[in-house]
Amino acid sequence: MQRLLGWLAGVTDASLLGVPRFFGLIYGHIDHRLPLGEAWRAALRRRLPAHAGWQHALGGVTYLLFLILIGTGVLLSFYYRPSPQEAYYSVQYLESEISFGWLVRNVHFWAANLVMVAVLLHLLYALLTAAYKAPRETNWLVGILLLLVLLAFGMTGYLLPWDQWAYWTTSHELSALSQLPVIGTPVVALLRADEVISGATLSRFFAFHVIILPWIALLLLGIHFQIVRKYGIAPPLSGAEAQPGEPFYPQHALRQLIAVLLTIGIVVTLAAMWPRTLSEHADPFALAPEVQILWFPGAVLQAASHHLGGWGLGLLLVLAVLLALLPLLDRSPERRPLRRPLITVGAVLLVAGVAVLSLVGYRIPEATSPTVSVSPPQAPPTPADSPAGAPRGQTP
Amino acid sequence: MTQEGDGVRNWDFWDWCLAGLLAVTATLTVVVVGLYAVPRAPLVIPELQTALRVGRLDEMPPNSARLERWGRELILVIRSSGNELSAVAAVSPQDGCLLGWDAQVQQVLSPCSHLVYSPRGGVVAGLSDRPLATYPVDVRDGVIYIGKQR
Repeated sequence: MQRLLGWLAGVTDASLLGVPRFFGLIYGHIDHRLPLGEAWRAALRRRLPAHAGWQHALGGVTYLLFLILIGTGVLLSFYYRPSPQEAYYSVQYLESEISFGWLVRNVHFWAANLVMVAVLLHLLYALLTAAYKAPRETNWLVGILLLLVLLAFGMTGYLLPWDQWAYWTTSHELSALSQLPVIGTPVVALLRADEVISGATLSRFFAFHVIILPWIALLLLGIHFQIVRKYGIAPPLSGAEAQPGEPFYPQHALRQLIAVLLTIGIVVTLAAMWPRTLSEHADPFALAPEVQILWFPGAVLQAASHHLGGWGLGLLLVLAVLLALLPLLDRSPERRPLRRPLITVGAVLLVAGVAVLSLVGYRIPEATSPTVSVSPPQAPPTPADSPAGAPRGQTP
Repeated sequence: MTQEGDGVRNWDFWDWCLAGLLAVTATLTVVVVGLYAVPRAPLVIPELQTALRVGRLDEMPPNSARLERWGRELILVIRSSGNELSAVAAVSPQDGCLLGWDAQVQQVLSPCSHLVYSPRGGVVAGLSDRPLATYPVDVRDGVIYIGKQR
């Protein structure tokens, strides 16, 4: 007992240094069993290839934006209520009553847009530098799957504020998806869970957005990082063997840190300068006069389906399949972009096409709003349910 | 970052600037998240409330009434001289006028068309056969609550 007290007095003396000393004692035991310090030092000392530069920060930026989305998403879930009666008011309450609620929500919104830009640039760089070629084909495929998961994240998250823009944009997207041959109708039935977008749809989208998709994304990210760690970054374009360069710390860490601070700065600035305002409460009986699609892949989908109909969506689907199969289609060892003109031109056209389509599909005029035939309601909506001037007999 | 000898590095001015910027960003993030997480008065959506808290019973003397708003509805909560509690719509369905409690006659009156209602909403006098909507009233731990319209 005396020895125990003596030991306790030794490790928890009353001086100011007692507290850090006590934690140091705990950390010592943890570090003894799990050599975290050594792992940390090994990660910092790990040498990157000599050709690693700023262009490789894009992957890190994408991951950072994904982390921002997780962080702000968790914060949003503190106040968000996923029911048609409460969702809109809970977002309004969050924006008007909660300290920095507007900032958290708009950072989430802008990060969701910027992550897609970062992913597309990451994909463009991988295409131009032939990073999809052996032995990194699996990582390319995982990357394409991650892109699809991010698209699903955006689509399911867009409905959650339950305002008119969210309601009708999702209505457009589901209507467009239903045009896909064979799979369109069952997929839309699975997602919508009702004849029209309703509380059942909101519950399903919420479950996908905050439970199912995050787990899939984390799994795919884990595989993505593991493969990058195993095979390293793609070799130089010259085809020469990658030469070992400097350790990760300090030069690469510094570069990544600058990219992190710049990204955070851009996201916060955009959130403060151009917030995503709420429109009216969602009303299935009143078409919004004009719907602004504020998530750019949604605008791309809208533009493709509006101008090309089912063919436009089929084209996007074929494009996704072609991208996934690219390692099988291009097996030559050549990596220089100018020696692969087809892929290079295709990559540039892909990014340019996405940019143009997102601008074209940004606004949906009322005339193009979709209609889905449903059984006529037993009783017409009362004037209180449907504002004056709202079109009748046209339901989502 | 300057390097001296083997692995020994000294931080230069820009390293300190960057570290400072990172520290400021981290601190601001913690402050924002902390303030964000502090609970505020909870969101109340009147249409979804199952009951409305009127107030403590001892704050409402006998033979008095209180006007309460529940979403779009106006409700007159009455405590009669016999200590009986009741709650009725505070707007007359006949003329759309705001009703008032007359303590002298202990009836609910419409000033627009001289309609008289009982504390339980029935028509006592006047050219109307439409009684007032009524609400259930309950007292729990000395607090008056009213429920959804019957």
